[in-house]
Amino acid sequence: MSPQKKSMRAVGMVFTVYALLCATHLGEFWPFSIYPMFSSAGQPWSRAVVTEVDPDWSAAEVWQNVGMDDLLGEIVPLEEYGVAQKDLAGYLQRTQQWDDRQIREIAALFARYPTQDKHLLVYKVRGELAADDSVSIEAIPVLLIAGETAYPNPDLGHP
Amino acid sequence: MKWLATNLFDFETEETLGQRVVFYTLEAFLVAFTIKFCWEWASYVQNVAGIAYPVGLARYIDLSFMLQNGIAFVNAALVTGLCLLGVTRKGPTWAYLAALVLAHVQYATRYSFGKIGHGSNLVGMGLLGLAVAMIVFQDEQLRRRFTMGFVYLFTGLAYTLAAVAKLIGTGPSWPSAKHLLMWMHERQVDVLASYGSFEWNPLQEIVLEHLTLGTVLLAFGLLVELCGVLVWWRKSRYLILPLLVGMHVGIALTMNIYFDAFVYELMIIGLPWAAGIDRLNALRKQVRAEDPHIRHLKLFSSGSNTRSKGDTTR
Repeated sequence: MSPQKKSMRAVGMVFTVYALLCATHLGEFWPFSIYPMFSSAGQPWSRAVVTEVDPDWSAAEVWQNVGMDDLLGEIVPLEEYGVAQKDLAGYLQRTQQWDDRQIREIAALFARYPTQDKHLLVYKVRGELAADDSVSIEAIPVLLIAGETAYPNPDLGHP
Repeated sequence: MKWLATNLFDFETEETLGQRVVFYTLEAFLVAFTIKFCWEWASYVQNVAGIAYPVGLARYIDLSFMLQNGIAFVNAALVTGLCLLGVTRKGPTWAYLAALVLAHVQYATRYSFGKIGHGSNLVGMGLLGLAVAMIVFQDEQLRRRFTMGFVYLFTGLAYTLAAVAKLIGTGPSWPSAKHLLMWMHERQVDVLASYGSFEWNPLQEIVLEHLTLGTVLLAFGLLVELCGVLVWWRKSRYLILPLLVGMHVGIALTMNIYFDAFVYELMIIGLPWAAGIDRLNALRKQVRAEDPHIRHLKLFSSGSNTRSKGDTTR
């Protein structure tokens, strides 16, 4: 068989595998992908920000939705502690109810952060297009991490 | 399909020195970045407590045994060893394929927490190209030609698929400036959360002031992506690939998103290095043919009588 025929046959097989795997796995089976990044333009987005808060703050102060300029405490630079912000954001977005396993998984992400005297407040930050085509952004507190345990926002659902 | 095979693989023409250099550079890059990614992912999963949202093989095999212990590092070491066997051609022909499978396991372990990452996909596809080349062909030149053609094929396809996904997901209004505005603010939050501070750069400030520029930039990016399959043709390859690099530069400047591995790979395969190397090689041969006493090729002449220290040429 000529090298050309061999190549096209090999490529054909790879294409078939590519198409089958992407079709049966929501478009993603590394390294195969349909590359859907940025495909849904204009849709509301959800990210994550973590701040360091004083343990003395009250529940009423902690569990308040705020704008980005009114976050409680100082922002914790997640890269310094080996936490991928997109991972945290994706996890928060997918998690609707918090059980012990999920709380444990989130708390484990911050293993490198010294939380003896400070608490971490995890915000889900939501952005959407406003009527005047500006971007409206709101930070919703989701989880308060205190050492090895975490407390979900009582207003957001916990079994 | 003969025209496609000719444009991609070019088996009929004799391989040049420049083409060999480009291939070995690409192979070294693919191996180095596969190894780099696997070690980075191994380090990351030490702080991951569970496979929350499984992807890839993690949907069929419980990969939680790879978390919070040294097993991911063992896997990274295996990938490293297999890649080295592949690149030195000392191991079995399936070395690269085995490395790819283990790299997939590493990827699935790392990205089964919340967000799928795409920064390593082109490297993975390149590794697949090498794997298939080693298994299907025994002749080294055929392996090189096949790998390059495979990489051109699936790189071009990747970008066109991305453009099609955008048109399907949003429609022709995709390049609207308000969409760029949304992404810029999203990335503002990302950078703030990751590094603790953020400031708009000059280009971002101009886009915020003049939204039409945002539409122009997005439209340019979408058009270039759509033309990704033009990489398959030799005549358009070295136009489209540098434009794709330009698109990534634009993405980095407007949205602070860095597809480093993509850009490096595009620069290796998309700039006319081979032609440049061959031209220099031909010039060197010509000079040596004209004056066989010349041992070193003088590429630049200052026109003066000064000589640098250690220069023994006349």
